[in-house]
Amino acid sequence: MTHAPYDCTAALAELDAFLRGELPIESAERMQQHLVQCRHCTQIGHYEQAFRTRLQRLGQQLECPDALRARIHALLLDASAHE
Amino acid sequence: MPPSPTPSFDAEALPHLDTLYRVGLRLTGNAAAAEDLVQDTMLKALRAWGSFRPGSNARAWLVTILRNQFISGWRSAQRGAKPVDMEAIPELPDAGDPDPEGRFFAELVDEEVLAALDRLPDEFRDVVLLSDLEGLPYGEVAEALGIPLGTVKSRLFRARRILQGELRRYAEENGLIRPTESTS
Repeated sequence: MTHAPYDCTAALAELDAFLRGELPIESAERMQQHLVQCRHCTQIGHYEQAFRTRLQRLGQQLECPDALRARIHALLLDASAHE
Repeated sequence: MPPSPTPSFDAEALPHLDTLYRVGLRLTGNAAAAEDLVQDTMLKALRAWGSFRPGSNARAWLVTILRNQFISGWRSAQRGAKPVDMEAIPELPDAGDPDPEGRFFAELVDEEVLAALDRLPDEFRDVVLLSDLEGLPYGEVAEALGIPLGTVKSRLFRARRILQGELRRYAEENGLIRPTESTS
């Protein structure tokens, strides 16, 4: 079985999955070995991670308003009372 | 008597209210509409609870219902055309660029990031919203949007590049990216 060489193109194609922790362990190890040797991909990795972190912060700070939560609880109670 | 095989709607659905509200807010663009959309979604989901397969993903299932509710009832009244060009994909920075590691991202205000996100075409905005803001794994995004995994990845790739390009341009124009001192 032959493998295509694991170069920057291959690494960058998997980078997002790697940063999300969605790469299988073997692929993740191969990625780590590549990153140790490749400054370019490491820099791109930092860039992507900075972007991702910024978006995650947006996602975490807003919660469902208490009033809406209460309304939905009331609706569900009401619905189960009519079953 | 054997225990009921159907998990309780409350236990499965209520933990996802934050996600539903945030996704609803981005879809509708305002809090009051988002609240109504989430409420409609929960009622619809409750009625459809019998069709939920136990053990499958409740969050993706709920997001699917929310989006369908939005598309059928709300979308027509919302949002104008968006001007972002999805064809011209910006390059990633190279080592010679100022701020190649994207430190400026952390300095951007929420409003600007959200405005850039809202300028994406819906199908691109939705993958970023679920994947990057809400942190859903690829598979769950695919399930929620009813599209193949490969499409999730390709849309995500393109949407992130466009978004990065937009934010980078904004950061440059507003002095958040300063030229590096060394010019070797």
